[in-house]
Parts: sequence; C-alpha cells; structure tokens
Amino acid sequence: MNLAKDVQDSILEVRIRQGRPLSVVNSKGIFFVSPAGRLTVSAQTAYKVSWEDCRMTLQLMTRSSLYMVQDQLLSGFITLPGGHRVGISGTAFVEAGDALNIRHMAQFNIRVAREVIDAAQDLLPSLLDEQGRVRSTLIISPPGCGKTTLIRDIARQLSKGQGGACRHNVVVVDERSEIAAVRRGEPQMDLGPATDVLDGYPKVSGLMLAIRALAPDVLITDELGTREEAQAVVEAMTAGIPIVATIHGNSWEKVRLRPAGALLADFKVFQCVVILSRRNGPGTLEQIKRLD
Amino acid sequence: MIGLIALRWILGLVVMVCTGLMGRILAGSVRERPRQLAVLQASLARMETSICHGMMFLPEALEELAGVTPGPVRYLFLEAAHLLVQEELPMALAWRRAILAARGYLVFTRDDERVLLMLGNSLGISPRDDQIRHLTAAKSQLARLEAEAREKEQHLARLYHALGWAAGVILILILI
Repeated sequence: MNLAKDVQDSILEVRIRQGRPLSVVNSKGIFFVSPAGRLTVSAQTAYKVSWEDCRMTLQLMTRSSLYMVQDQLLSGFITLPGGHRVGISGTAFVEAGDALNIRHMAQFNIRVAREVIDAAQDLLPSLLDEQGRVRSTLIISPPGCGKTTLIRDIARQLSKGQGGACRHNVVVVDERSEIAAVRRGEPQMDLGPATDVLDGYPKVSGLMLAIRALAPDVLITDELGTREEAQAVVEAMTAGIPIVATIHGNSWEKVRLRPAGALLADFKVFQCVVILSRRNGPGTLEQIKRLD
Repeated sequence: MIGLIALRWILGLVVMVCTGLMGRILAGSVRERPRQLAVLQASLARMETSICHGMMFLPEALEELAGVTPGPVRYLFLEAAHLLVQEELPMALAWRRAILAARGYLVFTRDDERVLLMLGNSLGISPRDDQIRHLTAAKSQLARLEAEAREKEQHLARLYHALGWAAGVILILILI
C-alpha cells in the first residue's frame, strides 16, 4: 500500500491496531486508510490490520532484533531512526506488580517526528532576559502539540546564536532519542554546532553528568514526569544553569498539582512557562507566562 | 571393425571416469558435511556472544559473522544479512531464503536445514534470554547431527569412492 506524497507529508501519527482499521492522524483529525492507500472517514471500507501486519511491523521496527529494545518495550515505546517514537502495547505478563514481559504486541502508535527549522523564532526573544541570558523555561502541552519540535529548534538557535542570543554551549539530555535522533553517535536532527547530546541517558543521571562533566550554558530535556527528574532539574537550577524542559499538561496551575510540578514550583525553578496547543495545528503558541 | 572396438573402449573409459568422479563427489560431500556443521556451531556460538554481550542488531551480527566464518558457510550469513538489510525481509523469511540458496554450495541434509529453519523462526523476535536458549538448543542439535555425520563419514566416504569406480567397471563389462 502506498500513500500519496501529500498525505504522507501531512501525517502526524499512524495507528496500527490488529483486527481494526488502519488509521492516521493529521492536523484535521483522525482518518482511516483504504486498501488503495486513500484517506477515508469510513471505518468499514478501511484496510483491516492483520496479525501478520503487526508481526512484520514489529520486526521491521526492531530490525529483527527485539532483544535490543526489550528494556524500552517495557517502558511502552521504542524510538526509530529519525526520532519517530512508537508506542507499543500488547498483553503484559505481570509478576509482583511489575510488567515483566509483553506478548502479542498488537497496537502501535507511530508519532512522526518532524524537524521544523525556526519553529522557535517567535518564542526565542521571550526566553532571553535583558542581558541576553536564557530564562529557565517550562514548555507545557498535551501530547502531539509540538513540544519536542520546539525544544529541538530552541537548542539549534541557542547553539548557533540566532534570534538575538549569543552562541551557547547547549547540552541536550535526550532520554528517548527523539530530540536529536542520534544514529551511530551522530545527531540526525540539526541541533546546532555547539550542542552536546546525551543520547539515551535517563534524565536524572544525564542532567547530573552534564552539570559535572560538560559545563553547559543551557540544559535542555524533554518530558519531565517523576519527582526524581524534577529534583534533578532543581539541582541544575541551584548549579546556576538555566534549563529548558517540557512537561505534559495544559496549564501551569494543573502541572503544579502533580508531585513533580509542585517541587518545581516550590523551588521556583522556572522563570517562564510556555503553553502550546494544536488549535491551529501542532505548535500553536497559546501563552507565554513570566513567573519571575 | 577395429575402429568400433576402439570407440567402445573409449566410451567405456569415459563412463568409468564419470562414475568414478561421481563417487568422489559423493564421498567429498560426506566428508564436507561434518566440517560445515562444526563451522556452523562455532558461528552460532559467536552469534550468541554478539546478541548477549556485543549488543548488536541481528543484521550487523550476521554481517560480522560472514566476515569471520571460514569456507562456504559464510555465504549463508552474508545472504541472510543482505536479505534483511537490502530487501527488508523479516528474519524468518530472510533466513529461509538464505538456507534455500545455500543448497547450491553447502552440503547440509534436510535434517540440518530443519534445525536451522527452526532457529530462524525464533531469531530476533524475543528477549535476550530466550534468544540464548534457542541458540543453545540449535547448537546442541547440530552437535548431535555432526556426530552422526562423522560416523557416516568413516563408513560412507570410502564406500562411495570405491562404488564409483566399481560401477564404472561393471558398466564397461556390460557395454563391451
């Protein structure tokens, strides 16, 4: 099945679910894919995903080497070359509350990563103070609103010294290999000439390593979630290094209700909060809020 | 009349050389099989290391094996790696096709192939521990087949060799 080029270019997500219609998400909503490769709103006429399709998909995505991603699979996702994240779920075999193994992997959510050069063009002046220093900034949005795309371009512009900023040594802690899409040691995305990437490092150890060993001017990381990660961000802040990070949510007030958000608020880590949505497509800038 | 007799003798000699060569080829394949099975086991042990400790993806592990495996067995790994990378086939299918292609240059029996095909159905689709179990099982089955092949080698290699020439002599006697 081949999708038309313009359809391919507009896809934000591909959803593959065994026994159910193949669907894609673009900026206009959820559509199904017909056997001829056309988008349709009818689930009845759409292509039904078979067991063999799922098996083949998994083998191609893991390069026939599932053992190489077995730890990632337990976290529920793998990252493909190019930084595309694939959420994978199936039947979990659980012992003592921990997911030990996942069998019958039959649901895949492929989120297409796109590099949007100058995506942070309008935002960047707000991230800099009067002396041109970077304000610690938290970018908040629900999934699929362009957080990763935005911080990727922030890294690139700060590293290149664009948008009124001087050139910065940027360190990106890229736990899920989505920001830089490192392949064999080299970022596939343009993060600028003065950016170090800690690829695959857990955020907590990656942030600590960056502070100790890489002397960054700015730290950038994606999707803060746990209190431990927030604690590591607090450590970075107390070390005097500005940090640009993202977190799921739709407002600072709601983020503050979560343990990680509460810790970040208590320590007044961030001077600026940016809210994104997909109201006018991914990356819609809803609000820039100064906290200092 | 003399010309006819000479022709018969020449044809007889040709037949004898042919049957003798057939005997040699059969004896050669009987001698070669245990060697190839031994090489294969060593290669699978290396693959186990690549998967368990080398943290290598299967296509790279196969390419590496092709680089270090001696003799024609290397082409089995080379072909499988090529089909995985260039044709983007899943491992089971790539391995099956590589085994079928190997019939041209390896002397494996259907029993040997069955062990390899079973391994191919498991390679790359399960966690590391499970991969090691499948490789260990395949190696022990191949070791048993190698032991059988060595026994056969001792009996059959000389027999095929002798039978080839004997068949030639008998055919000459019948023809002349």
